[in-house]
Amino acid sequence: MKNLLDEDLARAAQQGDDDAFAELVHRYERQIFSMAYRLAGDYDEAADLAQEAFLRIYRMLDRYDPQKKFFSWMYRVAQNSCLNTLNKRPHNVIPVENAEEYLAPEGSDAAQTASTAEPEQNYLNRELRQNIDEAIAQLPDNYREVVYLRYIEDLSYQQIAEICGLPVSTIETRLFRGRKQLQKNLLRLMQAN
Amino acid sequence: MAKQKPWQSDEEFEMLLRQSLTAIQPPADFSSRVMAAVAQEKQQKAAAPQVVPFSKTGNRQARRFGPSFWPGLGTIAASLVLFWAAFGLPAGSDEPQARPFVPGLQTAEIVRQHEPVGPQRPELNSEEFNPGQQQSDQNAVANQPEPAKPAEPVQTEPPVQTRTLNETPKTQQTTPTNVDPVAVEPTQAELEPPADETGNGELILPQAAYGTDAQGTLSVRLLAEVPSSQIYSPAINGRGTAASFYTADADNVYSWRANLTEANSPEVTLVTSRSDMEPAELSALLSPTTAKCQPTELVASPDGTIMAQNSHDGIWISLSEGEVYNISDEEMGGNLLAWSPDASKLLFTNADGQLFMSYPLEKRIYQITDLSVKDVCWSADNQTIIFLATNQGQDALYIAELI
Repeated sequence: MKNLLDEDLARAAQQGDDDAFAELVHRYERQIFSMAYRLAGDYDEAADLAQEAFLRIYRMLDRYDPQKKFFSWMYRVAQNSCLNTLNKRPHNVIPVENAEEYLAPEGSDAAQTASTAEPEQNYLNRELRQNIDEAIAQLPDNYREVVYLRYIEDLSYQQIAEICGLPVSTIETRLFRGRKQLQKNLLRLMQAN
Repeated sequence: MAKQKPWQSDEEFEMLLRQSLTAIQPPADFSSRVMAAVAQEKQQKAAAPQVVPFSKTGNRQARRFGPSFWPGLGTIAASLVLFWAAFGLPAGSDEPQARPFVPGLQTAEIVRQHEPVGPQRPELNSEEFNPGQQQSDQNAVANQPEPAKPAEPVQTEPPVQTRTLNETPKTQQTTPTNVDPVAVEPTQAELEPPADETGNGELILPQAAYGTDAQGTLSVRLLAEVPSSQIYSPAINGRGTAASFYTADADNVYSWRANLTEANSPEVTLVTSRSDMEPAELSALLSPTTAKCQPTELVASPDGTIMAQNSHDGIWISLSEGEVYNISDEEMGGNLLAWSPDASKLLFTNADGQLFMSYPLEKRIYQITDLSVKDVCWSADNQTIIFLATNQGQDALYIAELI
């Protein structure tokens, strides 16, 4: 099952194979959850949004065309589901600190740093992270989107290109320019603070 | 004091971004929770009524009206009309009342008309009946002049031919005019109604899977008809308790109100009239409730997630996630396309003005009427519609309810 392509898994899921759908959930739960968190700003609400998004993907499986890329279809359905749910109900946006403990996978450098660093270092890391978030928020929309997709949702260039409906070369260009602009924004914020 | 830049090269900046911006990990049991919800969804779906899939024109089994239903109802209705014609209306029914719409009958509905009183010209109050908006109907203008003698009811002989409302014009079934419909022998297939028919003579709609939880029936009734007058701007108030419309002649504009609280006998009264309107004001007052659409025009759902297009080759639906499909394999191309306020249902007409309703996400379509419809209005509760249709050259207002 782990070696099957997304499209083959989706086709099997359309035939009623729940194991195939479970494999798809396992493969992309991180990306969909990250997207939900980016939209909701709250960890618990993101869990609800992401679960609802996968349910909607399951309900709409019969409308998926296996000739098309599954990831981009799935991502759009999930994003639409999250946006619709958020638009329908009020929600409290809690600052990013709410999800700090979930930010990095176990064993990663960032996790190691977060767990063992001195409090002062932790404070600096937090301040840097906040500045980075603010610097990203100041980016133009087309740069900000690809930066989020690449670094927060951990998507490949190809996946980003499929979602945005753009050539990979355009994504590469936007990421390059987005990073340059991000450096300028970050320096300005660090100097101001 | 300027802080030292924490990166010296683009590569170091890339590493900094990756360390600072990592994907958020979902809860450890997230996958299990999703699959448990999927399993529950499957159980609920298995227990839900079967949804009949939309089928092509040639397959009449998917249509909601059974072939045996309408001729039978038409026979009963014809009998009632003959009885009334022979023995008169029941006591207390001197005043015109709205009768249930019956297919095949051409009975004209009489509206109680009031003569305007003297020189008083009260203002028309159209704010109450802004389509789809929640408005109180307590501030309606209540200047009702003395009732005039109602005009003689106009009754026509019910035509012998009966029609099945759900069929397209190409396959419309009619019986010859010189044949008593009672004498037509139903076929064995016609004697066996569809499994989900209640048998009480009403259209049954299966439970919608998305956007609505309505499982019920559709009933279409004639609401109002003003002889020799065109009807304009139908509207229904937010609570669904009253409907309004306008008529006009060379001198005056008349505002009418239909009380919908009595389902089987809506009371229609003239509220007021006005004769001193500016042309621009008059034009705005008598404009259609639902704007006409062009075949190439995209009409967005109220929540903005779905686009619909009433094209000559069918009704095209475009979802925000990119999927595009045609929910009708029959020619459409009418100039009406009206979303319900909650975006779960869509009304549209074909080139002949026949009105259809669909659940666009489930790709199901039901025909409401084969009359030529000019205007429609959704109620705020997404369960009732008012439509303006032309029947043998006479405008009439109908109400259709998803009960």
